[in-house]
Amino acid sequence: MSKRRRNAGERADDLLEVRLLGGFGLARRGQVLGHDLSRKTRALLGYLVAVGRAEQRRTLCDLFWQGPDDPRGSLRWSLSRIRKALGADATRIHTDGDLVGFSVAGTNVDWHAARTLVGASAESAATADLQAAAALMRGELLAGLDLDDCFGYQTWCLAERETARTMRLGVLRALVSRLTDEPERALSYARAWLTADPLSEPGHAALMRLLAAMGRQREVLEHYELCRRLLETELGTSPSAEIEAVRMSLRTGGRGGPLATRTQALSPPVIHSTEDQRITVGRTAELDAIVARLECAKRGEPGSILLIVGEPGLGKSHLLALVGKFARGMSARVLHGRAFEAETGRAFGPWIEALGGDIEAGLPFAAIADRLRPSGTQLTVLTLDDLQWADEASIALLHFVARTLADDPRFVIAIAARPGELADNRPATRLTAALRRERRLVTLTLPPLSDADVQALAATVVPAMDARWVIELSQGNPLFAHELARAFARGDTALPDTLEQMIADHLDRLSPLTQAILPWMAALGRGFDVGLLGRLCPWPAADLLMALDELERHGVIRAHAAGSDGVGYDFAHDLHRLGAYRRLSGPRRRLVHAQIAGALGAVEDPAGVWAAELARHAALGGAPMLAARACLAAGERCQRLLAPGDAGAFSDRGLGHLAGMEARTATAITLRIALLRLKVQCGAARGDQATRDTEAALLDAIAMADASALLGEVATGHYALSVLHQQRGELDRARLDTLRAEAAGRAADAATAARQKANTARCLAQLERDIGRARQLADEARSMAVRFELDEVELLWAEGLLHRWDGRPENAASALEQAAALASEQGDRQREHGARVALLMLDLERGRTSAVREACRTLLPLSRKLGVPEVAQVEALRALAAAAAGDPGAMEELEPALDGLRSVDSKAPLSYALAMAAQIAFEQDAIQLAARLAAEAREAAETMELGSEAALAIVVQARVALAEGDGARARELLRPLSRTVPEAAAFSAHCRSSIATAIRTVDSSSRAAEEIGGKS
Amino acid sequence: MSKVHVIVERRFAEPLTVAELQEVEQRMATCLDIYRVRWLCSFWSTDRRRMICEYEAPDAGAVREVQKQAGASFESIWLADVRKP
Repeated sequence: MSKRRRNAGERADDLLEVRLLGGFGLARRGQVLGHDLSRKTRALLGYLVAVGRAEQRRTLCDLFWQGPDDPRGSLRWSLSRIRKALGADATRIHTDGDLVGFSVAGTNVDWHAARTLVGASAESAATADLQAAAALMRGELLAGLDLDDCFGYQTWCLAERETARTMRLGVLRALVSRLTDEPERALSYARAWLTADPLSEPGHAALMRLLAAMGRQREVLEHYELCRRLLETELGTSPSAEIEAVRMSLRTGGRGGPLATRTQALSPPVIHSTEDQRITVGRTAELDAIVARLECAKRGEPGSILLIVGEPGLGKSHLLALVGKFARGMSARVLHGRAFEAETGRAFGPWIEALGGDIEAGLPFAAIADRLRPSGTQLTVLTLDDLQWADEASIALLHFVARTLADDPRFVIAIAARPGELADNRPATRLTAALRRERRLVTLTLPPLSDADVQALAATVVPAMDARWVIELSQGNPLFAHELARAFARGDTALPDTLEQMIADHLDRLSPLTQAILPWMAALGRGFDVGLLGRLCPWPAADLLMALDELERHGVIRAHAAGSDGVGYDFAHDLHRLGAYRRLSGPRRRLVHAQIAGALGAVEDPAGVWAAELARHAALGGAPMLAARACLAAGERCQRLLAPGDAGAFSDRGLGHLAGMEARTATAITLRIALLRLKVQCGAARGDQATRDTEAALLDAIAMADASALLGEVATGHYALSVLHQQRGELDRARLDTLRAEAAGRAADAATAARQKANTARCLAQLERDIGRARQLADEARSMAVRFELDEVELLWAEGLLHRWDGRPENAASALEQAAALASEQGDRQREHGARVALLMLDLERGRTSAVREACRTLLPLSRKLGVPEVAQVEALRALAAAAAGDPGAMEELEPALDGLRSVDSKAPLSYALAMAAQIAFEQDAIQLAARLAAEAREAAETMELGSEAALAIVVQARVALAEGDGARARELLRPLSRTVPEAAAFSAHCRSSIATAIRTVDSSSRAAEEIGGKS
Repeated sequence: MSKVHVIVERRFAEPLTVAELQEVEQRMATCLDIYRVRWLCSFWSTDRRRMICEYEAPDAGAVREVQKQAGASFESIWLADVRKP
């Protein structure tokens, strides 16, 4: 007969036991305490126990109650609930003025005990202590107590979990390494290691080595195959050399069958029973109430709303499903919706499931109520499951529908909820209280099953079984009892003492492939179909189908008709989802959520339908900026769907994600202002404190936007302030804000237009293309900039380039200097560098070689930060200045500098540098070098269609020809240039002057030659 | 005018969304003409964290300028020969 892992009788002491690892638990003398505490209250207690020190009330309020009007009141309420749950240990919660703490001395806290056993490091701890610690560290710290809306707590919790996880992995690693001589004992630790960190390659290698040592060679190869697929699918890598070495060390004869065969071999047949028969065991009174309510509706008599409440596993959802089934049997129209924990805050989530398109279209509540109103004699039955996770808008609509259709007896509402977590959902608590006051609510509280009922339930799985131990262990919980009976049917011998552990053991028995895929389904946090799963998970469809099939056979998930063309799936119970999710280690959880976020982010979603889910996955995947952006999209969608409360919650979440990030980037400023605007618009900034905080945040963000020249954001910020002041009745201030918003808006539009014109002008001037148009655009941008008092880097830069082109070096230098200084002030390093390089070219052309060399030296550190092309450009200018100054050895250094530009394939600066180098070489009588450089410069300039650089190269070629006594060729080369030289638009002033000088030289040389010829 | 094939490799710390990509593409569109760069195609990894873009341009410098103008981040830019099966 089976044996429990722990016996109630073994707990001899009276110590208060607090379990923080693998899920929160509180017990004394084997008696579970605090099972009715809400999740937030359990998290608060878990936090106090884990930190083991007193905290200020304000700190606790900031960690757990950022939103509510009365955080201190909420804290007091939670503390009173904790004291009540602790009973004789109530005094452990101590308050000293503003401080609140939990006395851990004389209690048994698994996390603290494990830390004491491990000491400074796992390496130095005794093996027996490590084994004891491993037994204590059953899972994640405070598993299941995530509070997505409490940013501070969540951040602390993730950091603590990481510490606990690192310690646990260290313990398991050390045990596996120390117990290599006892592979049977080491194996369970290796498996636990891989459960905690499935992508650990040393872990896979260790497991394979142990299996090999035990002669289980086929399993080694099967494990290798699973590991290979896991690494390839989730990390895109191949097994490490260490893993390959273990595989190669095996003899080939032991190879096992394919994975599919193994999958089936590991899937024991499950004994099915008639489900309805099982569901109804011990629920006669509740069934009678349900049937009575439906019959009453059929007779046209008014009746109450049914609220089925009970702890997880007591059968709420099953009874709700029976309401639907009975109603369908009466030809009623049945609508079913369900809230998901992961979707809390998704506006109208359960209603969208129940009604689909009507909600998406943003219909008013009254129109929705009209659509729900029964027609003729047909009943309409609405069932809503897991009300404790419903969003505020869904509850408001439910209240409206309940009130509006109260006069129609043919309309029936049945709801299910968990009482403990209902207390965390204020709108839901208010709704049930209101309905109760109006005497319109009948609450069916599901008690634990009696011993006889558990016996009957077990008999639906294994007829005539002796169910005494099922009765003892399940404590009347039908889900637990059912799982225990199934375990008995499978012939399991070791049974756990909690339902959660039972489920974890159940999941352990799934095939390795299914175990690898299962957490992806759990991470989705909602129902899914194969298509959705295939889009969001990296596993191939064939693997997914195999896993779905196995999970369905094991009763872990259930299939249901979804839409017109497919089958949808969901976990049979949320505890299965939670159990599967807990199997993900912290890092892998982030990886899974990040991949899902990536896939969701790639979906074209203009209406923001997926935004709420994207926000959740991005936050859990460690992508806070993406999460903040998705919160904005989700909040804006809530606003469109007239769900202001949910919109406000998303704006707070988005701002929370931004809180931990660099605030001064343009993207962060834009997002922050947009989220604050959303918060104001949806009315979430009402209330004295909230208004003051939002106003301060807006002023801060506006100042940052102003400093970064984000004029559109400044306008939005002032607009949000005007709404805020209007809401507070400060109309004069609101008017002033509106005027500022309008002024900033006009300036923003003008700035955008001016920036675009200046940018195009600068690009054209730099590329020496269409200089006339560049000049016209720069003039237009300048007139707008003057009108709106704009400082614009691109405009000054463009003007500097145009002055240089026109031969006004002083003006050019002044404009370029200003552009560089302004860019530096705005932190725009790229533009600062660009303007400074233009200034260097100008100075080089003016012959200010020492200034160029000095400026290059100053600029190079910035160039190095920007990249290799920038360094190559500045090094080339420095080499040119040195050569032009006639420095000894400078001509030899030109070639490596030019190579730098050649290697990054930047032909525009290369052609300029080559042309200048050719000119310098010629002037220093290096005729052959000048000819070669000029030819290359000309080719590069012609490729880039750079007229001035090509002309400068031709000028050098002509001078070389003349120096070699070929005056005819020199004239031939210069002839095309002489035709275009008077046109200012064709060449730069520097180039025009070079051409004119060359023409004069060639002409005078020809005349001299003619004179000599005449004399001779 | 001779043209070369230029490859741009990008990597994103956070998965890029369609909306962000469209924003960059829009900013890039105007610069492409000015610098005589033609965008041929892009490959976007399914985890949305990596991207490879192929352009035809007078030189790699022109493609680099376009990226800077559009504020498009990149890891490396290189010239390529095209080989087909």
